[in-house]
Amino acid sequence: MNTETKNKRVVFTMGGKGGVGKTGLMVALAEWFEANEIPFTLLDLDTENKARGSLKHFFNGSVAKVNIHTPAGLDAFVDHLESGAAIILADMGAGSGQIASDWFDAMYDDVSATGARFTAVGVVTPDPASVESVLTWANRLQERAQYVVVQNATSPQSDFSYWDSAEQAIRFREALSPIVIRMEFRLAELENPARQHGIRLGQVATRQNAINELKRASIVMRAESYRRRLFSEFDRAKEIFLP
Amino acid sequence: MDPTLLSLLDSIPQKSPRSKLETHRELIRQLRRKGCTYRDIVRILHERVGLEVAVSTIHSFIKVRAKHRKQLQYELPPLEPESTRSGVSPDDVTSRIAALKAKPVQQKAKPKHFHFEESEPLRLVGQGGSR
Repeated sequence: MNTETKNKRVVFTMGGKGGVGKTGLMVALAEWFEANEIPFTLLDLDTENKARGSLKHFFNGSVAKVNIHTPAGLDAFVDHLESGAAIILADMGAGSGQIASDWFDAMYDDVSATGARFTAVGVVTPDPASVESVLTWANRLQERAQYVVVQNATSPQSDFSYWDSAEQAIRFREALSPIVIRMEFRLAELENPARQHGIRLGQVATRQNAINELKRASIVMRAESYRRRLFSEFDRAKEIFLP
Repeated sequence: MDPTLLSLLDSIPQKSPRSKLETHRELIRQLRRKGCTYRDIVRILHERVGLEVAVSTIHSFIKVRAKHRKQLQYELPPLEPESTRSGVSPDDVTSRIAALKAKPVQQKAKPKHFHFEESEPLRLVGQGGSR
């Protein structure tokens, strides 16, 4: 294979459990790359996700929607790596595990031989099903990807017992050494209208939006704080977010 | 021929080939010899030559011209010694076989570092049970 994908990285969400915050995480990660002035290509592989709340909703016009439910599966990675930026951010939809697994089985050796690297991002919540989903993906992908696990607090006092203390999760951390980062609980007054209108945290923090309820001083300051702390978490994992 | 008719003939210019494929005749012939199907040829003409043509057109083009072609008598080539045919001496072959045998076989499956039984529930450590 002479496709040129050296020094490139694909960062993708481990689809599986829906509604855990995968897209929200990917939106924030894209903002982190933007803030650091590092170009990236956004792929929305979540064909089930409706327009509202999808990656395309937040980054209108700059997101390629890709249907992975074809025999070619995730071949879009290869094509975009060759022609686009050094980094691909791909938001996988719920239930895409088998497709990803099959694609890695068929293509990983050749793609990785060109120098491309993969980072699998899992999002866990207090719901044990979200933990099982991440472990299932890791079981299939093994060391073919590096792992980031995001603890997404869905309430002010989120309990991550299943992620912290389940025997299988402990074994996963020991075997594949994921970098664990935290995404703190966000106030509904900020989160809900932002999702409704496809407004990113940075657009709230800088008041670059037309939604009055997102321009309140307290909401703007909250957005700044969330963003700063989340970016600081991303900084900790920068080694496996960058090529 | 009558000089008047000859003059008339001279005054009529040569028409361009009736088929747009005429200029690619040799290419099409060689592609067929390589075993390409009509569809393959249509694709190659589109991708490499920028020529849009239907499969049926290729078929007709070949068929019409094949009518006037004499059947060739195919013959098997004469037998040659093995080493002459491949151009490699027996000693070289022996050394190549030895090198191939010495080449390490790539492991098909990598050992798994992490195992998760998807059908089993999560077991919380220190609480002696599952959820």
